[in-house]
Amino acid sequence: MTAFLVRRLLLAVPTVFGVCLVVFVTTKLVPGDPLASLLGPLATPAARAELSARLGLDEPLPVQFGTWLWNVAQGQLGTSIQLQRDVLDLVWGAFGNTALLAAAGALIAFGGGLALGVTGAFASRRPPRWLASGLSFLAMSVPQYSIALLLVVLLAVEYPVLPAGGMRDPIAGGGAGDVLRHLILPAAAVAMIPMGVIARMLSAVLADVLAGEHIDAMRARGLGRVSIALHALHNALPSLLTIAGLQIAYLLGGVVFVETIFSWPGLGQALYNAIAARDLPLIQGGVLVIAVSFVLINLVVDGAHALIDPRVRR
Amino acid sequence: MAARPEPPPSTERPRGRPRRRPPAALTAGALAVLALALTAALAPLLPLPDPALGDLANRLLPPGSPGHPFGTDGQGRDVLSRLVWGTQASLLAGVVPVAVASVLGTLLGVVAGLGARAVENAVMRVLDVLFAFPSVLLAIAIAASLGAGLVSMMAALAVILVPAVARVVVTEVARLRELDFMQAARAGGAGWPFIARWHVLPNIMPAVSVYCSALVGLCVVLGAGLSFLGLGVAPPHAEWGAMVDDLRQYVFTAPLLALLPAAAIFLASVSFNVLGEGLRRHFDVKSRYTT
Repeated sequence: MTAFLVRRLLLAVPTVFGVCLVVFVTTKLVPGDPLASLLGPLATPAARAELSARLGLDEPLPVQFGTWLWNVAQGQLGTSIQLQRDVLDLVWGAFGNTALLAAAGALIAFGGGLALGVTGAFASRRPPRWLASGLSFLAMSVPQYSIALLLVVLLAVEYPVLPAGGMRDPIAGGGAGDVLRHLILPAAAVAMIPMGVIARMLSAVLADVLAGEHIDAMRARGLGRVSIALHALHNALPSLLTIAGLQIAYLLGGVVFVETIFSWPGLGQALYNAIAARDLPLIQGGVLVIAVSFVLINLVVDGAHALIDPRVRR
Repeated sequence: MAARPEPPPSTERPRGRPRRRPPAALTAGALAVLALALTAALAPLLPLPDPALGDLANRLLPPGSPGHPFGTDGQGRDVLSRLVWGTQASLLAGVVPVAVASVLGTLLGVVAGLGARAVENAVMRVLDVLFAFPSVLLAIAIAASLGAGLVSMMAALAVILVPAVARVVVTEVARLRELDFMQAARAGGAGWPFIARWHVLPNIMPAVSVYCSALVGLCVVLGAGLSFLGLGVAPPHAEWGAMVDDLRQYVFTAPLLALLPAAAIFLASVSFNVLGEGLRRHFDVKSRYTT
């Protein structure tokens, strides 16, 4: 187990390095001349050379990448152009809120996906099976921003039972119960696609398991439906974990839209505002932090996978 | 030797191989996508008001108003007309990146799958890095760097789809590689371009095209999402994602308006997903039995 974890951890190092490289390359894709945009078109060649040397733009690209990487490793992600504040401070402040939203979304996606998937695979009558597979197909197809708007219109505007946005009530709020009330709608919106995918994949995996001979053997020995279902679920657990791990990508991508619509003060909303202001350092800092945390989450998922399925450890 | 009697010329289908009836999902999906394509193609011919023409005296009319069946937006532009014209951008954003990515991804995947072990490893490591990004975020990073516009949005979407297609192709090629006919071809002295063209491509085509068709729905959603964030089609042009972003500011005064483009994106996504699911059932014999 330890050997597996060490190997997996070492494999993550080149991935994180590659993620940094990709983010660096996108900074170099920006069309136009950065010196001209900073100094204006009438700058003297001497001023251009001076600024170019100060920003390190006269160095070859690999050296520039090395310098940038060194700064990132020290936590220097640059300064936000729009807000004139340190990007790491901004990103760090928003990170916790996004993590809370993503965790709540993961909970709903996993629970709902499990319920729908199990219904789709085990229900003995057709109508509940069709309902479950139809619902998961629709959930899988609905864009996060569409369902978010629908929830706002239905449950915050037409029938105002839940708040339409924000994280805390500015007057009376602040407690955990208040944050929870604000959390329900965005978490449901961000969970929709992963829930549908998990349900559909789980149904398919369970159908495969149920076709196995060991299930026939259990039936022959007179095991009840429930205990057969539990056995089948146990067999499906490793696949379920892999699927759920992949869905975290949708979850983290979805927060950008959902936080924007619900004014949830997280990384997603910061990204939306940064895009509107063409604030590239903040965009890249936010993308880098989310991508690196995605790599780390996958590490945890793989560890859990190895824990429940000894075959993976080899 | 007596000549075998010629079978009588017949217009009937040969017996013994009954034509598979296409699954209902395939028919329904194909009809829905056809309707979308027709809407996009016929937008200039339909008797609709100019989608970009504002009328500030008649702004935020509710759906059902005379002359504006779906109402008007914050600048008094006809919402129905903007929805119809917006079909063009959404279809382009869904189909073009998938088409580009399917060609590039197939090329990359076949080269990796048939090439030396070192080539395969190198390609797979690069793909692993691209998979480390949630796809929306990679698209945001690329589109934000390239600048707003339909072309840079489609480029960003194509880049994030290439690794997904390539991975499917590599898996499919690896499955084929050890089969007898491949070994026979290699033993017969066929070079890898010949093998790729005549043995690999025909065999991976069904799986890859079914997978790519499933990507179109996702791509429509992502493309509209990028426009929603301000990275796609620029505001004066009619585009569904940008309309959602524009209309959501009136969610308390005109709640139904913002739901219309949101529903349009949802319908397009469902149409393409139903078509993809139908294709999957039609071609993939195994899943015909499990689903």
